Amino acid sequence: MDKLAEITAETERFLRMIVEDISRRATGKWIARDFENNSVDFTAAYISETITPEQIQECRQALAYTMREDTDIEHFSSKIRRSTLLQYAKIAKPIAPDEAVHFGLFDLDKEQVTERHILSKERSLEIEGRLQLTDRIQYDGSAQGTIIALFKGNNPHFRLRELHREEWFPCYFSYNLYDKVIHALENAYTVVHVAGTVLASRTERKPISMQVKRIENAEPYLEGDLEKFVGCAPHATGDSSTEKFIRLIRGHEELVGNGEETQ
Amino acid sequence: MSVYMDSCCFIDVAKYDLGHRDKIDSLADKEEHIKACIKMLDAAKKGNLRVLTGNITISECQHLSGFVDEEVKRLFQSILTSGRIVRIVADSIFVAERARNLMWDYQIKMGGADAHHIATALESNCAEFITSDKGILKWASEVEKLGLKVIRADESKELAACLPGTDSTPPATGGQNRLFADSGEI
Repeated sequence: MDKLAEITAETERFLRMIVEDISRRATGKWIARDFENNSVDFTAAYISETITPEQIQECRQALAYTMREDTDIEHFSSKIRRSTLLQYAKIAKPIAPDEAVHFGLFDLDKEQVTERHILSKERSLEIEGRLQLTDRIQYDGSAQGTIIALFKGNNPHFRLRELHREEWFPCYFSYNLYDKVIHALENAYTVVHVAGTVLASRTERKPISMQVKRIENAEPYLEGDLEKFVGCAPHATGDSSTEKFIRLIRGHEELVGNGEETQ
Repeated sequence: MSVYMDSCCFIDVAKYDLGHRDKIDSLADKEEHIKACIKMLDAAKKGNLRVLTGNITISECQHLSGFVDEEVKRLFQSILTSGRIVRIVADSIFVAERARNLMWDYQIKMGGADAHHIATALESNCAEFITSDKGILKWASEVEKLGLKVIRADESKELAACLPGTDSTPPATGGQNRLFADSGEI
């Protein structure tokens, strides 16, 4: 029974994620119905008031693409998250090598199953293994946040809680940055900008750690700054309108010049 | 939930001075939007709304072509980078790839910077993208299909939800739609 419950829970998670991939704001729920006697066969139906018929069609295509036994994992569609594919693989985690999970996709017009797929233990392990092999990525990047813990010793690092994500990750630094780190800790609310080499997970789409090359305290906010900011620069864009100014600095006039005939 | 504010919003707020009303193009049309931007920043200061923007906004707001003194520069830095009002979403490989995929996967043919702003908002899971820029607003319906509303600040449901005494219930968009998958057989 534990195994069946786990498969059902992982399947429900996977189905929710595939809908999110098509429409992040769709609000609906998956319900199970039409249970077969003496088996765990059931129909999962997604019911929503906010998803469009076109998105339903896209969801079905995404399900078929993910479940297809010959889908190329290395060049997986960027419309579907790697974490969704990993979740699909997790469905078969509790089963034995000689067992399999069977899926049937309904034809939306005929309301009958027209496409069947099998998730075997072997396919599940293959997906997990390939995703793991290509998961880590390094790039030079930065982050804004507050330091919530400091660790000294042979491998000095601090935990940076990113402001926008509200999650922390470890930032490793060399002792020549120690004074700057301590300076950032003098005030409990100091916000810092850190830059360095980020190690990130492609599946989770977030940093795992950073090797810090630079750390600076953010410009402090002084009481009343917001009120002063309103109307502080009436001539900010010179003679241009804001829209024209934005188009200019984003290089759109050049784009037009390169791609189309200009008057 | 979070909203993403485009560079033009910060610039218009900085330009919005009752004594210099003529300095904002189409003010009659944009005034409610600008006032709502100010309310958003105020709500962010009070901790009632999360206002996000990308690194790129910092560089776009420093390219002011008119006369800008040291105090104005400090105010822009205070609002944009102190972390007290606006939260910065740093660039990453994921933002860059998502910006590229707007064109590759969805045929949303924006310029590089516009796509980068939209991708940053999508990557940071914002519900609304606040702008008055017609170059981005014209893609609103395509971007909304990805789960991000591209709107002016005076149309924001997120702002309405954090102001006292307002009804933020979103209207229903239609009847129930269904997707079926048969599963679970071992």
